[in-house]
Amino acid sequence: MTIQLKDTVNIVKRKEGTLVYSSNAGKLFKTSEVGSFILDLIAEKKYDEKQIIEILKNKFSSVNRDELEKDLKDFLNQLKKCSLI
Amino acid sequence: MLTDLNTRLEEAITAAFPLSINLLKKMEEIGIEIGRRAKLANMLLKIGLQKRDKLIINVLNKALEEQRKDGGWGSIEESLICLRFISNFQEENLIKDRIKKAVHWLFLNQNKNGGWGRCVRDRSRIPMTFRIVEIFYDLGIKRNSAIERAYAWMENEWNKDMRFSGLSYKASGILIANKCFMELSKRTVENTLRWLLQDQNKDGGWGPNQYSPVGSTPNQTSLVLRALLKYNNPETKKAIEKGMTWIVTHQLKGGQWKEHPPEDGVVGCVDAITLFLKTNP
Repeated sequence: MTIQLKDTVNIVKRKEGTLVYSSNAGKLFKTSEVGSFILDLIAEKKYDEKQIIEILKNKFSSVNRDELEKDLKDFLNQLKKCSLI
Repeated sequence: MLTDLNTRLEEAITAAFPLSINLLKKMEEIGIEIGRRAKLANMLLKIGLQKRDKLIINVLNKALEEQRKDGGWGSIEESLICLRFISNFQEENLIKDRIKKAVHWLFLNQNKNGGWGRCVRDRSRIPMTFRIVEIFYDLGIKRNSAIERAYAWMENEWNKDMRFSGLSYKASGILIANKCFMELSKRTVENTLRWLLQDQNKDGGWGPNQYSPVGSTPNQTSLVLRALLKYNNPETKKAIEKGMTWIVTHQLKGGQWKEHPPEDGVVGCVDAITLFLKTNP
């Protein structure tokens, strides 16, 4: 299933990192460069979890697949917990 | 010292971001006029909000919907703001055409003396004229006789004004315009720069002028800073840093500055901060 950001989420990209604001929750988050890359993929509204893993695998070829899967799951869980997706 | 200031300025932008999103949403909900929404949306794009953001798309659609057949919006001021906003999307053919129409409309509504007012029957004003000249320059429009008339009018008007008491927003407009199409006389520029530096209040900010009981305001301070940042040299450096410090220390808890309407303070201050961070990375 395609992962999608909620309509109430706004993203600002700064040199120092990416700011993610949920107006629903009234909360502001900061994310790393990798987090920002994943958010970009999610914002395209055309990838499911497996496809994101494949893209990450190509981009970060030195990291092993299991580790990538675990990191992505953790990140997605955080996004869910914060009601961003 | 500068790194510390840069960090504080970056934090100021971070605080202004959620405030601006909430403000823009509220404006959309209650149907605030497109000019105010476009002004805020333009600032959000400047700090890095994505063009595909739903809020931005909504403002874009509304701006395109409200553009009249003649190319303008409700007033000259609103047309200038909407033109500035839609020009962020000029890679799209439909918008290129809309920009062309808006520029044509603005040229048609230039006053006979060379300046522009806030609306069609208004008298020419430096703050309107410099902003129109600035957007023409940013859009890559070639210098023409209408633009030359605008410069001649601005220079004459400002030299008259400066002989009395002068106003910081007019001085800033002159200096910003000078960095666009052509150079005003060296004497006018030097006198204006000197005037602005002397006009800085002790607290580091600027008001309408040093005789004004109003004192430093976010809008006047940010506009002066935007102008001075185009003349970044040892002479202006200290004044700029003091001014930027005034901006960060006067941001309210919720990310706003003390101005009305609220978006004016945030747009002006974030504009100055963005330019400062760009020129002083």
